[in-house]
Amino acid sequence: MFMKQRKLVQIIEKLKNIVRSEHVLTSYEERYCYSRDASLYWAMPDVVVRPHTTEEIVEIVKLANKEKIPITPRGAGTNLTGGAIPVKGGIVVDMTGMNRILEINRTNLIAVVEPGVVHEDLEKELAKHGLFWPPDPASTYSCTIGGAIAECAGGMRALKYGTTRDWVLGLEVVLPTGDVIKTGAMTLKNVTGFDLTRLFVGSEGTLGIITKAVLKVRPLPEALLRMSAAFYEIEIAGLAVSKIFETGIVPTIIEIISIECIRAINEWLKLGLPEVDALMVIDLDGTREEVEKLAGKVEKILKDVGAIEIKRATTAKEMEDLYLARRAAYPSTFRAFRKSLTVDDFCVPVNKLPEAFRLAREISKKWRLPMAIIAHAGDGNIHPIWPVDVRYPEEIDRVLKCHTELSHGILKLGGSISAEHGIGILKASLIEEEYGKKAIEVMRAIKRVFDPNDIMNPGKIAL
Amino acid sequence: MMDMSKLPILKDYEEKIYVCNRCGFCRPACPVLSQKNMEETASPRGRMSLIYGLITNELKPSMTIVDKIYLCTTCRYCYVKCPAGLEVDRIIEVARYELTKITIAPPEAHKIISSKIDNYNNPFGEPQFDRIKWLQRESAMKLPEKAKVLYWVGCMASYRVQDTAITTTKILRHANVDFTILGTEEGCCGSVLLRTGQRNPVVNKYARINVEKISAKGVETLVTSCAGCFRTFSKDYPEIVGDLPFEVLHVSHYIERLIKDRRIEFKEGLPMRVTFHDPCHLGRHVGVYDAPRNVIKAIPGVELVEMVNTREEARCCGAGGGLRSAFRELSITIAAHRLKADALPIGAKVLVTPCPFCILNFEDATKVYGIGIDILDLTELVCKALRI
Ligand SMILES: Cc1cc2nc3c(=O)[nH]c(=O)nc-3n(C[C@H](O)[C@H](O)[C@H](O)COP(=O)(O)OP(=O)(O)OC[C@H]3O[C@@H](n4cnc5c(N)ncnc54)[C@H](O)[C@@H]3O)c2cc1C
Ligand code: SF4
Ligand code: SF4
Repeated sequence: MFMKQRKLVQIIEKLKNIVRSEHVLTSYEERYCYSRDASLYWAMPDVVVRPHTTEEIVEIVKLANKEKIPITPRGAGTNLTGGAIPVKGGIVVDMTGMNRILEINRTNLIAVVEPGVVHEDLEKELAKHGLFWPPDPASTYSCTIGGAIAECAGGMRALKYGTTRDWVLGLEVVLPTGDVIKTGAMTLKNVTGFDLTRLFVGSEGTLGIITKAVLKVRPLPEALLRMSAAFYEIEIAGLAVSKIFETGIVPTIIEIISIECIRAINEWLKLGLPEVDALMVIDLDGTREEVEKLAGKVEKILKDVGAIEIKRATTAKEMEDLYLARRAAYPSTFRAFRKSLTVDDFCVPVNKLPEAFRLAREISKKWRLPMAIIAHAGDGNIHPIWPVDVRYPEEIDRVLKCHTELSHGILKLGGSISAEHGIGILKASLIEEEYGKKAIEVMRAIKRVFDPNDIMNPGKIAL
Repeated sequence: MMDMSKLPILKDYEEKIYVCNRCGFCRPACPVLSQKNMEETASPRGRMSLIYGLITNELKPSMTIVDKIYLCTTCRYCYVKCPAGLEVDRIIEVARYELTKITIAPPEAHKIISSKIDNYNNPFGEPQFDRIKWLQRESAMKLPEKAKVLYWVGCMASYRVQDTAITTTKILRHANVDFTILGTEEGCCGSVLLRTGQRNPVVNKYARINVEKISAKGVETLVTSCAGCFRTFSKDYPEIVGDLPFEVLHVSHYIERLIKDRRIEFKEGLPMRVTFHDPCHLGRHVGVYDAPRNVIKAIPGVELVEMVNTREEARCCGAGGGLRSAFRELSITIAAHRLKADALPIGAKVLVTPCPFCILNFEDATKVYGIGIDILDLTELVCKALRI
């Protein structure tokens, strides 16, 4: 309990005047359900509120700001760095009740949504209109658009299309003072003043609560060609990515999964994938002629680098199986390790991929941790996955030490400690190493402008 | 009495509970959660958190926990979505059992059901004699003392959805099946007790007694028209009393077999456009998806249009797991959601399903929400096609 009991009782009463009383959760058990996300962290909120309108949020935030009570916005709680953990207690604002798709406009190529919309629901709805929103986090089944924006989520298609920051045109945000601002526009272009939209994208709920988003969407491409290639060494697979880029081709996705995943998938789904060190899946999209032409070139490059079993998916079933293989990499690793998983997230310049793979393996070995790798390789984005038995603090400690050592190594390669999972609590101590003191000071100064009382998701991103 | 069954206890799932990494993939699947506008405490992951809290002693058993743990239809959709393959539904069932052991569960409604079963052999507290009222409505017929096939009617069809009992017997008679029923000797299979954490009477009494009574009829095959009874006989009983001395089939299996053996032939067409709802306890729990579809497809003229969410992705009707008895309104809104979100958009005018629980809940939903769709049991459809 962070707040004094008497004050808490008053706050709860006031919150019940703002939202329907059933949307104020106070029991220990209910709050316990909101004490964790998909990271390894844990902290109890003093109270959970479930608003359903921007007006309600304004009132909640004004109350919190007046009383200097911490607020932690929360989507589906699937982030992996502790972003939704109320480290200083206070109010958790659960945004999942605000989940309406407000508009899909095929002519203007926009979608307007409330932040609690589940990513997969939007994807399905857009598909009905022949459209898609390119950011495609693997947590699509559960994560919210608000969470994706606040974390600047990426995914497989980020290679060709970029991450969330490239696909948000405008936002409605309730600032920590209770003021509502609009950023960006409903238009495809806009340079009216500073780009506040981009400031909020990836801000992890530290600058305000996003209550509405205007998303840029695209028509679904006419044709999609999928191929796979196997490699005796994952480093060679990494090298192949550079070689593809050198010829001027940018596929939609280039994914790499390591032997641990391949074996686990075969065991679970019996897909009969080649059990070599790494498997690459490549998607090319565009018109039919385009993709055919590019595929031929890519195949040649892969062969020259030393790939084996280069295969084009020719039937719908083969297309599906390959996609399944990539999508199943995470769940099957889960099943194979039979433990909870910690998923890390780094980015390196593409030409450093082979070194990064080697480094991840060396350091994991040093800390006696089995590891699987899933990589959005086209972006230089690597996810080392370590199993962890959460009952043993020693094991958690080893995972964290391994993560820290690998982070230092990645920075030395000119990489970044976070590609798409954010900083949260997990990486707060590393941010200065990547940016230097001054940049952090600038960020802190910006934070103060928005949030003079430091109520909005305090204790995150080293702010 | 000591629990000698192989039914799991919470400790057996401990390892699994620690595996959950809170990815939330199970969330959108949950029929209860979507009616609670995505409130975490009503989600499968929320329930897993609470059970985690109980196992680690971070939480003490409480009425709030009981409340949340019983907000579940045991539909098993969360299991389909879980990347770690966690059987959340079973873990919930076992947690209910542990909470019942320390007497803070089940909710009052389920306690009443248990005592009714104890006193009347059915969860409704209806007189035992009325169990065969439907049989009197159906033209009086003599059933043999012993037979190869036993039709297990189940409490729901015996007392509440009697059309299903009538049409099932009509079909069996039409195909000249050597069958009988237990009649007033039939009791509750205990499904609702197992689902609501009250396993002891089933383990100590009902399972054994039912199996003995059925075996005494010289039965080779048990056929039931209820998905709940079917799950209980085919999955739970073997865990309680070991392998059963007879084969257990759902009526959709059995009709499929009768069609294949040409003991049922559809001579006339039945021009009808129908959709099919997979009962959770038939589909996701036991893996029977094709048999009822094969029966529908065998009827000339009937066009089967599938809903988008179907087979292992079928949304629950809301009746299972004791939800209907303890949270009636919520349960019916779940049924209404299934009809409105999945059946109406494909233009279905008739929804066929082979389970009296689903039928009852869907029918209530059509009345309460004025949804224009007919609900038919699979056996009713077959009777229509056979013109019997
Ligand atoms: C299995 C798995 C796979 C994943 N795969 C990917 C992947 O491929 N790519 C990727 O980028 N990420 C991935 N993630 C990480 C995570 O799912 C994403 O970051 C996701 O977008 C978070 O959304 P959420 O709704 O769960 O947000 P939460 O976890 O609830 O919150 C995340 C952050 O956003 C803030 N927030 C939430 N809603 C709002 C709002 N309305 N206004 C302001 N701040 C808000 C919170 O305070 C928090 O800091 C994965 C996670 C898991 C568990
Ligand atoms: S079994 Fe069904 S109702 Fe129960 S938690 Fe899982 S999805 Fe929800
Ligand atoms: S899907 Fe499985 S692992 Fe993920 S939160 Fe639900 S129960 Fe846990």
